[in-house]
Amino acid sequence: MTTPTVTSTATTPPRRGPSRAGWQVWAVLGTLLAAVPAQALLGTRLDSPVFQTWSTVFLAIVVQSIPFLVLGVLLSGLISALLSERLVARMLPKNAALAVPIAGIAGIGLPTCECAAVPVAGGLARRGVPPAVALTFLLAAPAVNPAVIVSTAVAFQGRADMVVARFVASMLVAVLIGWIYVGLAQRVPALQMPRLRAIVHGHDGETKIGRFVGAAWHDLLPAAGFLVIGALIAASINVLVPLRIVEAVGGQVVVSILVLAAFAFVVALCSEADAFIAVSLTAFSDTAKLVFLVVGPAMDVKLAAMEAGQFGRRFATQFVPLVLVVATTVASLVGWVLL
Amino acid sequence: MKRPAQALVLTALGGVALRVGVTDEYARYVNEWMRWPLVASGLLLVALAFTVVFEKQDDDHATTPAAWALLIPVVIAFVVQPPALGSYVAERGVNNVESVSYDKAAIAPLPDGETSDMLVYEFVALAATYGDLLVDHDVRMTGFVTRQGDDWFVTRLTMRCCAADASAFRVRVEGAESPPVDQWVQVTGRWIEGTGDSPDAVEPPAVTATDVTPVDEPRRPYE
Repeated sequence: MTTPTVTSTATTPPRRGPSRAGWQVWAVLGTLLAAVPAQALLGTRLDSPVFQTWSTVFLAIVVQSIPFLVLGVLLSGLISALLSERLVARMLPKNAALAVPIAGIAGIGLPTCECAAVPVAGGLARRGVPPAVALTFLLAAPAVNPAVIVSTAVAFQGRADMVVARFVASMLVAVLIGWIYVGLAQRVPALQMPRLRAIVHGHDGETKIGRFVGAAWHDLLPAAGFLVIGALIAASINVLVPLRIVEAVGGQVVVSILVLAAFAFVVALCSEADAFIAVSLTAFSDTAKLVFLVVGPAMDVKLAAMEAGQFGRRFATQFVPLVLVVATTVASLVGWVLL
Repeated sequence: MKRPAQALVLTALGGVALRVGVTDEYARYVNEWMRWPLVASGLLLVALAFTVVFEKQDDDHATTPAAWALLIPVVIAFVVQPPALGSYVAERGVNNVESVSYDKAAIAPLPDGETSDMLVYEFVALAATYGDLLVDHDVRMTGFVTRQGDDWFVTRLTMRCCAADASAFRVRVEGAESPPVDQWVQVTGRWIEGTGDSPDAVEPPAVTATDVTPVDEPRRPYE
């Protein structure tokens, strides 16, 4: 658990001739230009209310995420340009197990949605922050920052216990996952560590600006591309599965917790808005609502897709279910004790 | 996907962010405060795409094929030009008063003898909690028309972060013919006492309309 797994050329295929890059440019231009006649041809056929609603919700999720994503990439670029591995080593305790809770507390300082946290965590790990510590930051930041605390308090008026429970449970999940990776990384070989693609191109490393721009290119496209894939799924669920279907199981204790955990995963709401949806799920117990609030910012379909892009697919297939199980369990226990 | 194609995709995505932020289109998707962050991130995306000019030609910088997915929102933004959410969403669940953080400090007696402008969700929340304040007062609300059976409603969606978390609020209108579904209207009327008077009420609150005027869709379609 001391050295991050760095595979520098994992996704760079062997160089091909310039003609191979050429077709891609034409494919992009062709798609964009084809959109103009498509609009005229399909015009009225696109009028079905389901499709239009889906388009609006899908585009809303993407549009809403773009500024946060750009902010996250900027921060990640700044980290790459300004933070040296020596500085990281001096700031964090040598013992990764001690650094994990510090990363959780540092998460309070990044008041954004989930989308910004993924590139920032990737940038931190590239600068020598132990992967487990970066993962804790990734899980904590979207759930415990002041913007989320305030929006939760506004949504659940007069329910300070809910705000406290959300903070405690989210922080516990982030720290527990970090400790799982610290403690088991060497003993359990099956545990996948995040794969970090380093920036290896010579000219990127020359100046601070070069490093900044290099990191921005490197982080932005995978994060944005996978974000769109997550948004496709989330918008489909949002439009095709009405809340009423979910509410049908509100009465059953265990089923309702599992259903809301699954629902939080697939609808992928922004962590600053989910409290308002949670409070409207009146058919559910407070504990089930808490599970919804804790699982959502820690793991949803959008985040899972982005993490697969940032840290590798094999890592994601293990990390995503692990976080879902830990988050659901911790939130249920915290809810049982505090609510 | 290689760098030149990446630069084109980023430019297109930046273009969408810029267009949505600069025009009133943003109001269909996100809150007003997101407007200038969108413009700024659009500019940054285009600027980053431009740095491709300074790259050495012999470098591939291939990125994940998932980058192709970025063309989907671009194409949808230009081909479909999705409208603000409307009656389809409103048919799927309405008037969840608890999902509105109703600011108790804002509850003041309505002025006597004049018509009060009110948001649809405010009216629903008032009827459910402090209905007494509505008695004998005229209110004016703007929303779109939805129907259920023989009844029609003036309906409006509220939004927190983005259109994905929209929820619908509606008020039944009596004493006036129903305009076509999805038509925006301004309804002036008076609360029918006892309708929709608790947060658990199955029936929405109702008004007796004295005036129903068709209007254009407001610049900000959500409350």
